[in-house]
Amino acid sequence: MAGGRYLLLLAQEHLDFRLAEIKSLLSLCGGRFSNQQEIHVNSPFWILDISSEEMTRELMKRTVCAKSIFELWGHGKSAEELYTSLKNYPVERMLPYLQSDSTYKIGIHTFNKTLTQVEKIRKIDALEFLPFGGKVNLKKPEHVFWILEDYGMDPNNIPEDPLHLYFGRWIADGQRELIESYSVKRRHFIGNTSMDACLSFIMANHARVKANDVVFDPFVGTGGLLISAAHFGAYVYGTDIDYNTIHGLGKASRKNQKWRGPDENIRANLRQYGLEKYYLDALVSDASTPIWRKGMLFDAVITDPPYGIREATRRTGSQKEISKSTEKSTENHVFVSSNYHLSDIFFDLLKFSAEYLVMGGRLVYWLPIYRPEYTEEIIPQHPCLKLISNCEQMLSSHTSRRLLTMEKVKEFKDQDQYSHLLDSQYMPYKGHNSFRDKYFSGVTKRIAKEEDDNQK
Amino acid sequence: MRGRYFTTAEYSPTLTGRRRNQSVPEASFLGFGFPSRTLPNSTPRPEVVSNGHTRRLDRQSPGFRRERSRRRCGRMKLLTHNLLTSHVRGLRPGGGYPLGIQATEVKLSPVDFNAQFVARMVPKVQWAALLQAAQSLGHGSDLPPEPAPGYESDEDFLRRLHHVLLEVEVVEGILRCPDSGHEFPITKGIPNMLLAEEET
Repeated sequence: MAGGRYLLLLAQEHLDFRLAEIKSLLSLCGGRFSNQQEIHVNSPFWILDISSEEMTRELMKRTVCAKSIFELWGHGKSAEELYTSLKNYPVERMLPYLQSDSTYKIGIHTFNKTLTQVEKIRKIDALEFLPFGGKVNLKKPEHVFWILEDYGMDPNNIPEDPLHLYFGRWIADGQRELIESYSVKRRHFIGNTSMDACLSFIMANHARVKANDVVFDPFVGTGGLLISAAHFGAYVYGTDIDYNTIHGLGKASRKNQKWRGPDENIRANLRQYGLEKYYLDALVSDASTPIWRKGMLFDAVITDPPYGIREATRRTGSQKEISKSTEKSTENHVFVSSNYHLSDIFFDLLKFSAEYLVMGGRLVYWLPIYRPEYTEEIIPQHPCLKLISNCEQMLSSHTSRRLLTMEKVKEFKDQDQYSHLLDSQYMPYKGHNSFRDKYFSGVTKRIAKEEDDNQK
Repeated sequence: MRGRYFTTAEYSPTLTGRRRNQSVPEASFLGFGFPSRTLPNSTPRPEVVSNGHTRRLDRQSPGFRRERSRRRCGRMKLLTHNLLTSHVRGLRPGGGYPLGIQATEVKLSPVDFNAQFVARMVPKVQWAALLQAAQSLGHGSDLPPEPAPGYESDEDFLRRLHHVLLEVEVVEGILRCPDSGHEFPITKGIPNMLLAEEET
């Protein structure tokens, strides 16, 4: 069947990430994001033009931001408008779903208001004018139709009548249940900064991960981001500088558990979800050194670099004075880690992605932001990478992190050729622990103030 | 005397005791995957033999962690080896590849065959390096000198390649840089690509 207008019902969580996810997924399914009327980004109801029903099903197999999608039969700002709009919907497009030998059910979904059963039945009965031919079956209907009512966004001022009404045929549900089934609470191996399941699926979707891709995380930690990529059928590589994390040694991150248990590693994590076949390898390595051979191309790089707050930023280094204090001996390998400036982390990450991504491959990573200083200019750039989306998640009143998605648009040539472009950038991230200092600046000021008060 | 409360079976090395260096069949407690949260508690604590007695190790003792870590294994795949290069400073351009493999322990572990993925990997693999690595581990004889045209639909070839790329895994060994001779150790299947201070 040809395409048409579809109603997307979204979850009211991670609002800033939804549009980028739907756009990325539509382009992954071979479609294009288009809508005839302005969509309200924060509203849970979006009307989209999608070129085929098959594409909507593909979209819903991936999205964690949307709950359901409906074939839109009519909508309006009042019940009368909805009925008029339904009467104008071509009957030949309705009839295949209203045959006398089929079964159906009509549901009602309201946003920001709860209806009583009597009200619901009244609203459903008002649709009698539609040529329903089949039998009602509430348990196993072949076709499900929904009335969706939008009572606005303000919970303190709920209108008597809905601001907008929609009627449509249900097509498919999204992947919201993955958030529960992949919850970090029940994951075998976690660390202090393991990524929330929902956000890691969003990251995989922003990166347009697809089956048989090779996905790489240079700051893999406990591999949470690789799990979501593997769920979508990609094969995964990860590296981390921390020998103990990769080997699953050391203290546990879980409450009431002192040491990491046996077999706590990335491979066991994937095994827990039946994804072990997608595990390629995890390596102990420094993200600032080139361990991959030239010409090795990843389909996506998804990562959450350390910001220096809950995980230290470090790399192998050679400062003698530091080496004494941070020298680590693990079995027979001795390595020294030195401070790794945030600016260098992002510089290395972008350079690596520009060099090792396939053309059209995506880099998805988090950038910590000190909000009073934020401007678009501080976003790291690389001539080979084009910024696709930039979504913010608040961490505190003055800090946030932004999920940046970049796409490789140009072949990587000589790295030195572009070095001049980078001089003026990254200023806010110069210096070790630059973000950490700002993150805690509010706290230090408060302590200083309290000390002042005490002296008075 | 804690031992008084243990049954004799628990003391007997033949029944439950595992000597060091004895490989532990992974499937015995890991093969099913679920429910994983119960794993750390249900897994028997490692035991060692000392003075003729099998002794369960206390969680806090250093021997406990050494024994425990022997039981969990990642493994380096030959696909990974094919993609890795040495990064010791001062190498000639393109140098440091391929790394030589000296394996002291190699395991074969079955991985689900996925023809599309293996076919996608063919152009990414450096064939000569793969042959050399596979032969050094004694698994290269199945592979042709180079992939024949039309390999995408040759399932027999893809299955053999799948075996070499994904199922032959190095547990313990060394990766040696061909130019500088630097050795990158592989412990419990995880290559350590970090360099010591003077080599960076």
